Amino acid sequence: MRITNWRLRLGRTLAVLVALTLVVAACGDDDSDEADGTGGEASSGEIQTDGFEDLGDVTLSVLAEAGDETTLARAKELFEEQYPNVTVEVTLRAFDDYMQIAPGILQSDDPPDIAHGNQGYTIDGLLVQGDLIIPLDDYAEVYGWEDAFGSGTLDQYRFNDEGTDFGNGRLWGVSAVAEFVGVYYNKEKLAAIGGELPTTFEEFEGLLADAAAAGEVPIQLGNAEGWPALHVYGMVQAAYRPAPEIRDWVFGEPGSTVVTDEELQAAETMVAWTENGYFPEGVNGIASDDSVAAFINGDGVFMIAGNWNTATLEEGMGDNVGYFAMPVGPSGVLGGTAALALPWHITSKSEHPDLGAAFIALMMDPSFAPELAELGRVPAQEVTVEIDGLLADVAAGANQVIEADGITLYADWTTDTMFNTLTAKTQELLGGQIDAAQYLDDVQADWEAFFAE
Amino acid sequence: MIESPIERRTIHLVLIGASFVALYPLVSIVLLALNPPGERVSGFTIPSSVSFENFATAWERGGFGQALLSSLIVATSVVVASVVCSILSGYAFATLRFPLKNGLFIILLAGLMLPYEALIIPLFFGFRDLGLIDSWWALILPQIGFSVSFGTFWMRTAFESQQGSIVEAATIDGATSWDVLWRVLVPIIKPATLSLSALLFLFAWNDFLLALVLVPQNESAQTAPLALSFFAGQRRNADPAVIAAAALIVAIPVLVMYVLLQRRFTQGMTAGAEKG
Amino acid sequence: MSRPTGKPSLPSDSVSVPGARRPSRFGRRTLRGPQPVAFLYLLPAFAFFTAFALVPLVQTFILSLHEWNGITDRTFIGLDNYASVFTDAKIREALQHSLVLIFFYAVLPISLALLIVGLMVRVRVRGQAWFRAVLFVPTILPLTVVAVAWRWIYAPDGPLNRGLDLIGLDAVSRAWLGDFTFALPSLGLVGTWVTFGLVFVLFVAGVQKIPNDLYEAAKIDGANPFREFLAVTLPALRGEITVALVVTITAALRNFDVVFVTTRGGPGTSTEVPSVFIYRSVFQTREVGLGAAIGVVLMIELLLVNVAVLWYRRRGEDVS
Repeated sequence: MRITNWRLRLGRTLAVLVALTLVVAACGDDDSDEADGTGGEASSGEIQTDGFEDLGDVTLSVLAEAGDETTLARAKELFEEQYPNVTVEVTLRAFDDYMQIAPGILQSDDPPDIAHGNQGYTIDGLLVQGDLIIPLDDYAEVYGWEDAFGSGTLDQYRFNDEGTDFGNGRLWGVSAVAEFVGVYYNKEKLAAIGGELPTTFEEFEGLLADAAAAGEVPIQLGNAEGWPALHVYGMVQAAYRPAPEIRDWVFGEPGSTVVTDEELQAAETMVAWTENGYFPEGVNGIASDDSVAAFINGDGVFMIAGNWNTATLEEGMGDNVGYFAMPVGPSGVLGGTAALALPWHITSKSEHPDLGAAFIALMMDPSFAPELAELGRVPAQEVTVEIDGLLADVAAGANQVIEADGITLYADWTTDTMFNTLTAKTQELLGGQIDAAQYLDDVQADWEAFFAE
Repeated sequence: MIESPIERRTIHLVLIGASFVALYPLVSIVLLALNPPGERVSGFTIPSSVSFENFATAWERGGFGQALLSSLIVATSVVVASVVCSILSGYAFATLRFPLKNGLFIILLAGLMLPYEALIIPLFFGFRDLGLIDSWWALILPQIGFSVSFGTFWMRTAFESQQGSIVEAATIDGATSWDVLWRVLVPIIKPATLSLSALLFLFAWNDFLLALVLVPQNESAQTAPLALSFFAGQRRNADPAVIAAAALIVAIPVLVMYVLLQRRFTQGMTAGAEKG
Repeated sequence: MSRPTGKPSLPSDSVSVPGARRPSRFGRRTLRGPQPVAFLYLLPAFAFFTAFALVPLVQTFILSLHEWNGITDRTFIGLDNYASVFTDAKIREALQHSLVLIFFYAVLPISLALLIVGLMVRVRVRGQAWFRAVLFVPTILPLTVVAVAWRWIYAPDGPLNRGLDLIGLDAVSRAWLGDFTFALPSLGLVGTWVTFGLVFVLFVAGVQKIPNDLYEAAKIDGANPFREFLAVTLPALRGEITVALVVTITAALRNFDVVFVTTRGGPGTSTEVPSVFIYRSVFQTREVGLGAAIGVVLMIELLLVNVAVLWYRRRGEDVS
């Protein structure tokens, strides 16, 4: 067992840059810190942060992406314990369904009180444009969210009031969970091919070749949804291209482009991996959750995926699964796809915004961080949590990337159509329908069209 | 007729083969669903032991009890309202004289050619403005609107096939058109009414797009096919066997109805041809 | 199948032969003048029809002339959306896919059913009612259930691939729904599976109405089975074929459920179809006007199909 101190440090290179900084520090026996200092007493006159017992019987409806199922179950339990008069009603939707229906639901006359969004123009921009959600700046102040995270970290939840400038303006959402994409590996399989943990991207590619030669599936992947391979691409991209450039592109910095030599090398690497059989056969026809199940069942030496899989993998594989950050590649700096999780929003039509905020605050509170860790999720605030097993590997890997200023965010946030463009184009790239150059041209065309307006 | 034994055998083999193809997808998910939970199944595996636990899991996790109830309420409401409207309008078109009769009939029939995929956009925004998104009303009302075209056509044909003398006799007795309809004709055309009801029920039960668009969030108003789609999309929590069980839960009411009313379905769905 | 335009067959016929033209068989004596009470009888049906079909229809037209994200104010842009429908490569691709689906939903099942029915007329089939009942099953299942079942059939370790492995065709097995070449035909075959039963039952019913002496006469003329099929069965089924075409083409063009539950248009855009585009335009890409324009185009396509099929039938009747 290891004790880890999670801390965020503000890293800011450009006006809108986000950097999550988790620092692993070996700690003694202080198993809980009081990094608190936030609490309800800071309450401004208008915002109610406690005493919801007086509301009588109320229902707080929550619409969430299904990955938060266990987290919400725990939060609901705690919240209802605190306020027996409150019923938290949770509706869950799988990610792909969620991305399709969430804006429609939030437009309805009776939307949930709080709901997930998604950073960037695809979802959040629209919710802000339509006045469907309320800004959380006042709540952030009362509950001390800015201090807990560092204000730069939360920039990915910012938009101007018109919903047209991502990364600036008011704060519209929050989440206490950090999500990283990294490399999971099957320890037995890696040992069987005589491999050791790679220290460079080149070594990693060497291991892939060894795995393929040994008749193993080098990288388990199911890309029926289109976004799983996007996460793989994000890691390859970060190996070839420094993270700050990638973030500029995501935030729409004028002149940014993916049509560069480094990106071309990254895209061609993806093509080469496909052609070399490093991904399972029929990768575009395998659902991502099915590929996770396959990895658990021993198909695949590596799996490049988000840390939201940690609990599932550990439950299925026990000690046999490990995790590392994608080792440094030609770009010379460590990098990887990561961000805070899907933001929680309070809807404009909610009758109990303060109650909703209190529920969100419960999940944001440092005291909830150990619960998150227990559920296999990485809490993003400055807080000390005891963790062990796979999650410790994940945290260590994440910290390396953060220290190197290597977080790239998610490319699909970039424009309102980028999610669709990237999912389709990535499938086409892996399916051999388009070549690497075409892929980059098509993606850049979406970017140009959006930022030209 | 002289029959060639070879032809005889061939056609029977073809039909048996076709029946296999028609049933196999259903059978395959039955086999899948009956596996003990957690069993890793692939291909043709026949379950080593039969377990209904996947059904229990699906039922509990997918909220299918509520979904089946919603489907039942929505489909029944659509059927009752559509059939009543169609009896009235079909009767008018078949027996009464009034101006613009042809024109009105053609307008109504044009509804049969209307793909409601094209209407879903204004329906969504309309119901949103009315605050009826996520309610049964949003499913029931449009489906009545889409059903009356077919229903009117169907009932008119049924009324026209009745002997005029019955009506005449009743009319001479001084009965009003209302009495003639409900006392004389409706009892006679019961079979046609039942077939129409069965068909409309099937369409309403099977509807997916309307439910997806108009009841996206409220789990207590969600119909069975929609619940299935959401459940099947959420694989993280359900292995293929559980999803197969969920699909069967949604299909079983329709299958039972089909077994009971088989002729009404096959004849109903093909009847229009002869009537044209 | 889901609710259809024209599902139970025949609406279209009646458009051409409005029943009203035929004097009603009864009431001639008593029903002399106009009976305004008729409008009361029509009121409920027309109220629903107007509110939930006609009005949305008009609104779809109006929306198709606007640019709108569904949330903020909309802007009138004339026919620009229609220009996009015909120039945007993705939308054109989706429209082309629906043409491919017509082959699988209409042409293939109708050809197969004709072939089988052509064979059936030559012998007495035992258990005909049973076959009819069984073959009809796919038609009544909810399409969401159909989609879940076929997703399993086509799965990488599903029955189809394991079956191919068993007969030594491992080389052919693949992730069918994730393959750029095979995903669309694979979904198309699901359509064939769904529509075949309806088409088959329709044709069997039609064949039963063919007078036996027509076949006897053909035999006396020395017609071989093939000639017999062309000379007797096919012409006699003209009406049923028309009906089958309208219903199945409609199903092909409107296809939503199966695509949505299985591939969502992927891999890439290889199974993208218009109705999924319409759905996305409202909820995901927020190009509501464009979605409405696609809806209008879809409606016009269906109208053209109906008119063409009716014209074909009319012509057939004039000839005979």
